[in-house]
Amino acid sequence: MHTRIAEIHSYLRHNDHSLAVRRILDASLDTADMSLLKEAITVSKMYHEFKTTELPAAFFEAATTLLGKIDHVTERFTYEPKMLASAREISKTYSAGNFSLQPISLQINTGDVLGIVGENGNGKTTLLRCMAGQLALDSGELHFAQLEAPDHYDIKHHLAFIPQRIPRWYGLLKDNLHFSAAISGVKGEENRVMVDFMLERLDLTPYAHLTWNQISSGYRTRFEIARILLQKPRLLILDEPLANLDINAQQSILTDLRFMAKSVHNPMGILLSSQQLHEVEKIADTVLLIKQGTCLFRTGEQEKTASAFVIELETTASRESLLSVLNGQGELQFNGGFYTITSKELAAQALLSQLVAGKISISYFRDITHSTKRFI
Amino acid sequence: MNLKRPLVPGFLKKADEKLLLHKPGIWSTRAHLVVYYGILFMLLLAGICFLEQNDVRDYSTSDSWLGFVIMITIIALTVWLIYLLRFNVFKKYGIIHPFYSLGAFFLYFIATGIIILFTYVHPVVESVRANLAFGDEEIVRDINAMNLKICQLEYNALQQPWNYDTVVRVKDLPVPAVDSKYDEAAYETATTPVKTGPYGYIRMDTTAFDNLVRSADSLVRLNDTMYLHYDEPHLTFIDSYLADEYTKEKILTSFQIYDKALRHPPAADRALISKELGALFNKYDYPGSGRSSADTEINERASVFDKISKKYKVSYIDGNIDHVVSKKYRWSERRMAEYVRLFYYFTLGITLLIFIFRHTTVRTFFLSLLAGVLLTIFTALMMSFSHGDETVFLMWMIMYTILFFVGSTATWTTKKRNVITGIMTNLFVFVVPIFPLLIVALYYALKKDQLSEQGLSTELPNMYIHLLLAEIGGGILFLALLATYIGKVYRRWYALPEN
Repeated sequence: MHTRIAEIHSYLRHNDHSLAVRRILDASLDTADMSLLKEAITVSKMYHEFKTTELPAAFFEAATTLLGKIDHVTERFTYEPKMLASAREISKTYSAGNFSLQPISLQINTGDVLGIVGENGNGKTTLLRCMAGQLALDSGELHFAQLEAPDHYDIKHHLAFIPQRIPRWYGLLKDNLHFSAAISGVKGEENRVMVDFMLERLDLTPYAHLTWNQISSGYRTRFEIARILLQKPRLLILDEPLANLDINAQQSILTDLRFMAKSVHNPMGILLSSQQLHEVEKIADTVLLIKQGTCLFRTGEQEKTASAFVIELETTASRESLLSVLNGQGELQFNGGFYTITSKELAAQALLSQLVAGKISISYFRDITHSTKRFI
Repeated sequence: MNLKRPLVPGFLKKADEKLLLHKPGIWSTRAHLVVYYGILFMLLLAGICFLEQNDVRDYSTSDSWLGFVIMITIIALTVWLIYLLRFNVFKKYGIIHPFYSLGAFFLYFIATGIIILFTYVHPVVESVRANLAFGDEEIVRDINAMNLKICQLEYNALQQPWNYDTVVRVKDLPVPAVDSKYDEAAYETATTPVKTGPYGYIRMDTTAFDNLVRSADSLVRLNDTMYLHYDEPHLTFIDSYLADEYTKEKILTSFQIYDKALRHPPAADRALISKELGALFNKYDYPGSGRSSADTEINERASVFDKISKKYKVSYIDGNIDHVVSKKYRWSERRMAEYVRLFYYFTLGITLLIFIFRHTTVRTFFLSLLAGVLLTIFTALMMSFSHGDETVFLMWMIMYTILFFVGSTATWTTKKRNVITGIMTNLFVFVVPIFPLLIVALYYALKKDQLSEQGLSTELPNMYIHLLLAEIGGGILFLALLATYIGKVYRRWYALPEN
C-alpha cells in the first residue's frame, strides 16, 4: 500500500491529476472507512470543479492529507486471492441453428481479469452466458467456490452480467444507482456515500440527474458498470463492454476495471469479451481466443509455445524493400493494411533495428508473438 | 434524488428517499405514492361530487359518474404501472426476504385497492349528502304523516266496504297422490283449486289456517272453523322499501293507517291538514321532478287508491323518497356484502395479474393469458357439448387447479426454465384464491342435486355463510401459499437457466 500511495504522490507531482484522483478514490475505498471515502469524494469533486482551469492549492493539500490518512490504516489492507468460479468442460449446442460451443474449462479467482476474444459469431457471448447461468449447459459443470449449496437465484445474485445491448433504464439514473445498491444490502448513509463514490469514480456526477434517453451509449455503459459495481458482485461478466466507448474511454474503463477487480475492499473476478485484442491483453491476466466454438489459444501456458517471433507492421515501404531488409530471415504477409512478419531468427527489437537501419518508414509496429492476434 | 419532482411535497420526498435507501422493496412498489396521491384525489373528487348540482331527492347520478371515474381509474392504474414496472427487486436478483412475495403482494393490493376505491367516492358522497339532508326517523315520520293526512283528506272517498273471503278450516285436507309418471288428468285432479270462487269458501288445513289467524289484520269469527277474512284497502300511498329497516319508528301499515285516520272523522279542519300535507310534499319534491307539470286527468274507471294517488301526484313524492332512501341506505348491511365483494374481487384480480407479471417473464405472462383464454373457450365448448351444469363446471375448475398445482411443482425437477411450468404456476396463482370456494360450491351443488332428486327443498340455510367462509379461507390459503410455496416456486423458476 505504501508503494501505491507513493505512486499516487508521483501522479500528483507529474500532473497526472485525473489518474491520481481515481487512484485516491480506489485507495480510500480499500480502507472501508466511510469518513475517508467522503473526503476522497470531496477531493474528486474539487478536481472536477477546477480541472479546466488551474487546480487550487487546497486541492493538493486535501489530497496529500487524505493520502497520509489512508497510509496510516495499512493494517486493514490484506489481499488474498481466492477461487471464485470454475467451469469444467462446459459445452452448449443450440437447439435451433448449427452453432456449438465445444467443451471449455476455465477458472477465475478474485482479482483475476479473464478476457475472451474472437471474431463475431464464434461463441464468446455463449460462453459468457453459460458462465452467468443464463444458458443451460449440455455438459460440464460450474462451481462457485464461495457459495454453499447455492440455488440459481443465489448464483445470479452472486455474479453480474452486463450484456452487449444494455437493457434500458427507467427513471432517474441516480435513483437506479441507489436502488441497485439498496437491493444488494447497501443501505442508508452507506448507500448515499457509495453512489456518490461510484459517480465520482466513473466521472458520472454531472449526468446523475438525467434519464436514460438523455445520455450517450458510452455513458450508458459506464452507468451500467457503476450500477453493477454497486451491487458488489463477486464475479463480473461483461459482454463487449468496449463496443460503445471511444478509444480513451476504452483504455480508462479497462484500467479502472482491473483496479476494481483487485480492490481489497471488494475483490472480484472479471470475465469480459471483446474484439479489442490489444486493449484486453493489456489488462487481462489470461486471454482466451475462441474460434468456431473452440478455445484455440490461451495466454499464459500456451504463449510459451510460440515457435517464431511475429511482428505487425504498418509502413509505406514496398514489399520488395521489406523483403530486402529481412534478407531471408523472415516471412512477409500483407492483409491490405498491415504487414505481418514471422521470423525464427529476429526478435522484435532486432527486427526494429534492422528496419530502421534499412530506412523503412514505420507508422505502426507491434510485437504480437505472445498475442492472440497472431491467430486471427 | 427526486431532482426532477418539483410537485412532490417535502415530507413525501423525504419518505421516498428514506424508503429508497432503506427499503427498496417497498419503494419499488410506489405504494406510498399511490396511497398519498390516491387519498388526495379521492378528497378532490369528493369535493367535486359535493359541488354537483344534483338534488338528493333526484335520481342517483352515480352510474354516469362511474363511467367517468372508471376512465380516471384506468389512467391512474396505468400511471402507477408505468412507475411500478421500472424497478423490480426480484428480477434484479436482489437480496429478498423469505416473506418478500407476501409483502409485495400486500403492497400491490393496497395500491390497487386505493385506485379501485375511486369508483366508490361518488356513491359515498351521495349517501353523505342524503344523510345530511334527511334523518332516518324523519323520513319515516314524514311518510306516515303524509299517508295519514291523505287519508284524512280523503276520508269520505275511502269509506267503502272491505272485500272479504270466507275461510274454512279443514282437518286432514287431502293431498292427492301423484304418480311418478306424469299423468295430466291426475295432475289436474291434484291441483283442483281449494278455493271455490269469489263467494265460496277457502278451505285451509289447520296449519295454514292458524297462520292466517295469527297474521291477519282483520278477521271476524263466524264459528270455530269458519272466519271472514277481511282484506283491508291499500292505504300506504307513500311507501319506501328499506326506509324503516334501521329506525325505531316504523312505516304504518294500511290497517294502522285505517285505525288512526279512517275509523273516526278527522279532528282538524281540512284546510290545515291540506296545508301541512302541501308542506310535506314540498319537502320531498324538487323543481325538476316534473310533479308540478304532471297530468292530473283522472280515469273514472280507476280504483279509489289510483284516483287519490293521481290526484295528489304521490308517485313523484314516492319516487323521490325512494331516491333519498336508496342513497341513505346504500351501505346498509344488506348491500354492503355486494360492494365489498365487488371491491375485493376487482382488486384481487388486478393485483394477481400485477403480481404474476412482476414474477415471471413477459413472454410467459402473455402466454399464460392466452392459455387462460383458450382453456375458457375449451371449457365452454365442453360444457355445451356435454350439457354440463354448475356441478360439471365446478368439477372442471377444481380439476384445472389441481392440474396447475401439479404442473407448478415440476419447477423443482427441471434444470431449465420451462415455459409450460411457468404458465402452470401463473394459472395456479390466479385460481388458488377461489379454490376453497370451488370446493364448497361443489359440495352444495351436489347436495342440491341430491335433494332435488329426492324431491326435497333445495334451500340450504348454512350455504351462504359457508360460501363466505370459503371466500375468506381462499384469501388466507393464498397468503399462506405465498409465504411458503408460491414465492419459492417463482424464485426457482425465474432464476433457472434458459435453453
